[in-house]
Amino acid sequence: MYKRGLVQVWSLEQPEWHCRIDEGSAGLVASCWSPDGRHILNTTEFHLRITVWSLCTKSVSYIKYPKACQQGISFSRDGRYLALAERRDCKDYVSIFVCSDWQLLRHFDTDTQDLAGIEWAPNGCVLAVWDTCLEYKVLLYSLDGRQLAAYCAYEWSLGVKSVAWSPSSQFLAVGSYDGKVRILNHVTWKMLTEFAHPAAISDPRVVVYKEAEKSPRGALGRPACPSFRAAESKYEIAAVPVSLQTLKPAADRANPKIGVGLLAFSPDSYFLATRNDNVPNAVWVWDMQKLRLFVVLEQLGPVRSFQWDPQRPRLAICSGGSKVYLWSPAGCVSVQVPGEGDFQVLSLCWHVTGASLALLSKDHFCLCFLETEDEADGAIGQLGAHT
Amino acid sequence: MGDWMTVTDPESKNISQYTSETKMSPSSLYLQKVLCSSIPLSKNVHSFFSAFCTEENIEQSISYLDQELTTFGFPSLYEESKGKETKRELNIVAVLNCMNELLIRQRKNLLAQENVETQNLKLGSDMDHLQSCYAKLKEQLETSRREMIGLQERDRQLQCKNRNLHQLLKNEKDEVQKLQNIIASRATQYNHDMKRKEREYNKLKERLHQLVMNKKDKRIAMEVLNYVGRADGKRGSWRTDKSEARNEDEMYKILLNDYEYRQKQILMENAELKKVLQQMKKEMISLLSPQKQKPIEKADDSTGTGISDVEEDPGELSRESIWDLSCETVREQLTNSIRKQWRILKSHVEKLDNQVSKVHLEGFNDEDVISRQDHEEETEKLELEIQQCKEMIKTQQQLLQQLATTCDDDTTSLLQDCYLLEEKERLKEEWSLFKEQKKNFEKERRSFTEAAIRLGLERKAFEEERASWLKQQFLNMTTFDHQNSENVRLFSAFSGSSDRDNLTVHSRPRQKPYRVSNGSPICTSKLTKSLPASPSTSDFCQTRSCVSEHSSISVLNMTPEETRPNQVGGECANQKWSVASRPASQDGCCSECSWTSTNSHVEKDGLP
Repeated sequence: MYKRGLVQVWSLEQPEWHCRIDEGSAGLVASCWSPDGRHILNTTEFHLRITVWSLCTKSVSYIKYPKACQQGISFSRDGRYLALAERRDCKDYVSIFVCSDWQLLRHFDTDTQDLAGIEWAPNGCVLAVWDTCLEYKVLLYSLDGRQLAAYCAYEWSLGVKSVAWSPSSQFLAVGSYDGKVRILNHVTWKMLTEFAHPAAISDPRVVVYKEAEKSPRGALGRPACPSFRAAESKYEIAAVPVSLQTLKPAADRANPKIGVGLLAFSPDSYFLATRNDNVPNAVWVWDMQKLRLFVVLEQLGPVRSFQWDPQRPRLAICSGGSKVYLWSPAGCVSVQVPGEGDFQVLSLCWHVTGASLALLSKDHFCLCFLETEDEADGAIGQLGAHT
Repeated sequence: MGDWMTVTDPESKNISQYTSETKMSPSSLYLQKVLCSSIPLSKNVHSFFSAFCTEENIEQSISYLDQELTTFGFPSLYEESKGKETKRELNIVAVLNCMNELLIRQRKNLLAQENVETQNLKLGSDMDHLQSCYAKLKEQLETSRREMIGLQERDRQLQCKNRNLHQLLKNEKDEVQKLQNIIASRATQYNHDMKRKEREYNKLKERLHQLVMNKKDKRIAMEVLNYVGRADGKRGSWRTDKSEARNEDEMYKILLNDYEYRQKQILMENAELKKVLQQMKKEMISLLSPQKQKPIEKADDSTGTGISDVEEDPGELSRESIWDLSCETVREQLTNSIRKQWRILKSHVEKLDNQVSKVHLEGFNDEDVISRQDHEEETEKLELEIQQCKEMIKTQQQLLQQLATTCDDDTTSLLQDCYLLEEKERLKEEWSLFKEQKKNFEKERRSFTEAAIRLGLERKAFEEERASWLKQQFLNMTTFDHQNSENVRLFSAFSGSSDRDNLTVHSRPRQKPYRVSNGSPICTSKLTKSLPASPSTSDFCQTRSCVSEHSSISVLNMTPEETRPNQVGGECANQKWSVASRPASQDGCCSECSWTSTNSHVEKDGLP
């Protein structure tokens, strides 16, 4: 509850256990769990400091000067280390803490103008640091603070928009405002290849799925279903060459809708899913073994988010409607979320085992269970006052 | 030769024609003169001769001639005189000699003239030729000059254009540079501004931080029901230098592990690739080595090197173990040898391609022979197969004929339709079964109808009893309104049962249909005891297409009833049916019914 500066914690196993943390006048801007699940990191208002509350010892630690940026905190995958971006005296620093006892391990400055984000590689040994979008700069630091490499693709134009590591730590995908994704390899930290996102697709080996409505028609030719029930939809394969819907961004406003805004690798690193913000209805899936475009999925509405199943190469996409879309190399399907009224799926989140999926709307969420016969069952629940 | 001028005799005006001028005058004039001079010579010979010397001036002409001749170097025409004043006698011998001499000279002169004339002609034609050549060359020179000027002009224009474009390019580059400079300067300006603002902001933040920290806010606290154990089950430890050192150690260990793992991967990959390369090399060598036995044209170089490589091979094989090390020289050796082999193989393949194309051009004889042989073999095989099949067909036909002909009349009648006998018998059995079942069903149906009639009668009786009981109640009650009491009673009676039903049904929301149907027969049995089903409900339920309703619908159908119960009660029953059936139908078609929305209210109260 950000406005009240309160964090409430409940236990899933012991319903009676309950915890309340009050930041009081310090205010609360962000809150997140530590990977061991025993500490909560609260960022106070104006990013004054980060308070680390421990649930084991009820002790408090403070971290000063955290940086207010897109992705300033990153935990390594094995949960051992926390990398935090800081800014002191108009210079950017990165501090690495050991999560077990919150000791400062390394503190080093970075060669950036205005650090925009940091992310650990899944193997926990390399930290990727990228600069503000006014300058294209990606820096790679080793765990002990040495700079391993710096990469800059071009100057004088808007730079990095999004960054993603492949789960095997072999590739670093950098999506930029020029609509291209550049893949760096982990041995030389040089570009392996770049993927462009043109609005017209002409390669005949690419499969393009287009979502189409399949509303049942009544005798008079009008759709038979009443208006408050959303029409069913299905995927059709469109013949190449295909041209996708583009959006012309306003050039004089900040944060224009161009560039590659969303990037995600599949868990076996075989596929990379991307979204180019000027073609907002399409999801592009690239084959990482052959380093070329594999599949393009075009939805009827703008894609809000997508996430890969943590266990297998299965992608779930939501576009703000009441359907969730699943793609896997075997095919794709569009599933209507059951429920009364209109359930707008705004974001989604897979369970670690990949057997269930949580679909979140504004104040409801729906748990989707995926059975082996590919049937999706849903149960509707009410979200608490958080989120 | 100078100009010859003969003394002009007043009488001989024709002599003037002889004036020969040996200047370099045009040949035509000369020719003309010569011709003119030669023509009148033949015509005017006599007149000329007679003009010079007549009967009267013989002595004079002789003396004149003598003078002329002596001046020309000829001997004198007179005899030698003894004295001065005596008349000199003409020396005829001298005269004849002089004449002969003159004739010889004349002939020579004529020859020379001819030669000169021919030479003159030649020179004239040469001159003409040269002049024409000169004129042509002059023309060519003119044209080429003009072309050159034209090209120069074009070149100049292009250079102009080029210069312009260069200029434009330079301008653009300058502009770009300028813009970049502007951007850079602005960037520095902004950075400076930003830094200033950041410093201000930091100061404010510090102040705010101090204020926040100083305020001993009792509210900043954490309430926890009880402490949660650590994730790894161990106890927390104090932060000391030792722990710091331990953390450093762990960090370095992690890094080292990662590097070692990667190095192992890379070494494995390297080893595999080297193996592959070595295999490739061996195969290439083996491919190339049999070629040295066949005579290949223009392949001396390749075979030479091939042989040398084969000789190299045993030496190299022994050094394979060294290749597991990856020092510079060994790496280079391997790649170089692979490249060499590959080049040889490539050249060999190209030669083969050429040979093949040549063979194609020459003819397809070889190919034909081979293919024809195969073709013949194939056809033989197929013919054999066909013969075998034919024999089989013949034998089968014979057997069939035997079967058909060797039976008597009795056997034929018996064997009529022998194939279908079994099936016919089976059919008969099934028919008999079916007939029995039919009979049984009829019996049951009759019994059911009788039971239904009995039930109807009983119900009627019961209804009458109840009506009478109700009337009694009515008469007993004086304060209540008639309708309300009935409604309340009925509703309470029904809602009680319905609530129970709702609870049992909804506490397990995701049940399979058969469970719900178990609930509904109970429901129906209760209701049929209390109330007969109205035709409206049965109609309604029949129109519903939900499959899960089957059991409940069938139960309803078993009790068709014509008596209309209380209207309110009927409506309640409607509501109940919908409630009972709703969770079973999990698609949205229940939304078609408008009054389910009212029921949802009832449902939600029932949820825990």
